[in-house]
Order: sequence, then C-alpha cells, then structure tokens
Amino acid sequence: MRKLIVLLRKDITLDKANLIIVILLSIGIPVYISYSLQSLRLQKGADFVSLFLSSFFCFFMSLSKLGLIEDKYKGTAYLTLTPISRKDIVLSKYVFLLLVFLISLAGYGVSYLATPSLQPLSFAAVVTVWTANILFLSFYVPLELKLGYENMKYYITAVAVISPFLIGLIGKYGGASIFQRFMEEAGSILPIMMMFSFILIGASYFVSVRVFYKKDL
Amino acid sequence: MEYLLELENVSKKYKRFQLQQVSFRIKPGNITGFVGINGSGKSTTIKIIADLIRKDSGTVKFFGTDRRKQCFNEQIGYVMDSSYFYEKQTLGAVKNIISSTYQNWSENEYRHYMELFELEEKQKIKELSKGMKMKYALTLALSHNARLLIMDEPTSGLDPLVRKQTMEVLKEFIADGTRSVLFSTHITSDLEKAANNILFIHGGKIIFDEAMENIPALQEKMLGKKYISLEDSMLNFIEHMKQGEIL
Repeated sequence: MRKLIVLLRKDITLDKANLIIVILLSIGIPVYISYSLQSLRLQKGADFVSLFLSSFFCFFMSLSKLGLIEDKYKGTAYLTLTPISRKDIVLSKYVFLLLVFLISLAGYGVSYLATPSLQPLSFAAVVTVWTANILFLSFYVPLELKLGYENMKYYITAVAVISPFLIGLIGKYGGASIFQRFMEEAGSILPIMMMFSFILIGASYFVSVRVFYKKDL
Repeated sequence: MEYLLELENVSKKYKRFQLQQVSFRIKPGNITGFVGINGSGKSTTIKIIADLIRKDSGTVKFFGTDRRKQCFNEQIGYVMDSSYFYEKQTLGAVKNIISSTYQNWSENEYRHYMELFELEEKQKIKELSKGMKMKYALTLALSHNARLLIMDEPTSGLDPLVRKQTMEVLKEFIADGTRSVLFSTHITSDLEKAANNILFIHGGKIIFDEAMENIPALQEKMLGKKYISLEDSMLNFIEHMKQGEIL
C-alpha cells in the first residue's frame, strides 16, 4: 500500500499541471455539451454522452502526458532499482486511471450543480461509461507497456479525435433518442456490464504484469 | 563467506552481441573495477544485475540468495550511466519520491552528501551538469544504508576533480569492510587509485577476475610483457586475444 501511494504521488507530481487541465475538462465538457447539444439536453442519455466524452478526454490528457514523460526520462526504469517492483508499477497505472475516472465523475457533479439544464448522473450512465472506458484501457495499458508510448500515441490520439465525431454521427443518423434507447437497454444488463468490466480489467492487469515483467527497460 | 553478489553462467544473446557464461563474485570490503572497452558487455552485465534487462540463462544472487525479491534493492544502490531522473523536477521532489520507497532511508546521510557535493534541493535536474547529475545519483544511492553499490560508467566524461572526489567517497563507503562497490568504467586510471579487484570483460566473456596487486604478475605470466599500467595491460590482453594467443 505504501509503495502504491508513493507511485500515485509520483504520477500526481509529474502530471500536476496537466491534472488541473483534466479537472477543468471534466467540469467544462459536460457544461459545453449540455449547451451545444440542445436536442440531447432533456433526453435521457445526455448524461452518458457528457460523461463518456469528458472521461475519455481526461484519460487522453493524463495518458499522453505521463506516457511522454516516462518515455523521455525512463523514470520507471529507475524506480525498478528501488524496492518498488514491476508489479507495483503496473498496479499503480490502473489505480491512477481509476483516479482519473473519479475526477471525471466529480467534475460532472460540479458542472451539474452549476448548470441547471444538465441531467443528474444516472447509475446506468456511470456503469456504461466505466465499461466503455475499461474496454479501451484494458487493451491500451498492456499495449503501451509492450510497445511504449511513442508507438501508441497515434492510437490514443485517433480514439480521442474520433470519439466525439462518432457520438455526433450516431446522434445524427440514429436520432437523439438512440442514446435514450441505449441507456434503457443498458439498464437491464448493468450487472453483466459490471461483471464484464471487472473481469476485463483483471485480465488486462494480469497480461500487463506479464508483459512488463518480461520487458527490457 | 557471504558474497554480496554472485553471478553464475549468466548469458544473454542479441543479434550482434552475446554475453557468454559470465561468472564472478563480489566479497565484502572491496571496490571491484569492471573494465573493458566499449561494447564489451559491461553495461549489459550491470543491467542484468539491476534486472533492467532479462538474462537468457544463469543465476544472479544477492547476499547468498537468488535475486527476484525486490526487497534486496533496499540494500543495493545503483548509479547508472544515463540520467533516469525526471528532468523537470527539482532535486528535492525527486528525493521525496525515491526516499519514500526505502525503509532505511537516512536523511542525515542525504544531507551529508548533498552538502559534500554542493547540491541544492531547489535546483532542477535539467539545470545540473553531467558531473552534478552523477553526484546526485550517488547521493541517492548512498542515502539508504546500501551494502552494495553498483555503478555503470559513472565517471565517463567527468573532470579529474569530480572523479577524484568520487573515488574518495567510494573508499570511505567500503572502509568498514562490510560493504562493496562494483564499478564499471573504461577509465582505468580511476581504478588504479581505489580498486582492490579487477574484473576484465571482452567480447562478452570474463577474461580475468584478479586482485589488483596480482595483475602485473598475471600479465607477465600470460603475455610475457612488463606491467606498465592497467590501461596498457587491458590493451595488451585485447591485442593478444585478437591474435588468438589467449582464448
């Protein structure tokens, strides 16, 4: 636990300036979406769209900055020369991402208090966005550990650029009610989604540990 | 006797280079100079010891036990050839991260070396010269009561004054006879002033592992040439190996 706290403190120290932007994004994106997508504003599912985009951008900002720093300075290699194990380092990556997700949730909460038109966050939206993020991150983290940030930056940038357009396209062609229908259907499979996300994150952690354990630093 | 470090038949194969069955032991109370020309396998061996790269075969033991347990790093200090620090951070911020990972961190030792090396906590890593970065790495490595100090080319590119100061610190470090240093370098003049033992590697193979005082006799016996200096000796051995006179 102590080592995990050290590693999280390290990530926060390195990402300090960026975390402020992440916090601002987590508040700003839901506000922006609630005003700009008038057709979605009162629909059930707007909370899903807002949280999905804000959490995705928060992940994008955090992963990019930290990945860049670690790639450039090889600090992780130095940390493995201390009593911190490679397993601790991998675990801290997942915990840091959980922290970023919690920031995006808190950010939504703050923007909800400040924006009357914003829907309250439903449990279904939280679980669905969480599962969508896990689906992305559970592949991204082991791949980044294997290939390095330099080789993965195009992947993460592409996902970050495409996702708002994709949401826009789905809304345009499927109609604004598509998100409402999606959330209603998602509501009936929430326990399955939660279970799926935990299995996926567990498998991803296991693969990441193996990948990182074998890697020459 | 408990050896601080033992390598037995350690091998690692790359496309153009192979570390072949490297074996040696480090006793307490020694400065072992790990010498060899560029590309001889010094850094590969040290990175295998540090677990930064994976060996293909062989064993690495610390304090008589098979390494794998990260807790051994509590008793080992590393100074690597390149700066692995986060350059935009201050010395104080990096120290706060590193010190929290050790249970035996000594703030007194840290302050002592920071003062000795004239380093300021408020300085950013990127503002340090190469010599100062090495001094800072040495400060961190010496501040957690390590029993074994492993250094990969720490003095290359440094001025004679910094190198002299470093060697003085190393001699002080091993003075109580319980601790040791493994020091890789191709600046052999540094070792002549401080090392008790010389480990010579060439082409991925250990050529000899001898006490410093035995090297002149070893050279005369193996090469039939009078010993002038460690550097001259190293070059003579390489020359004879190229001619196939030593296998």
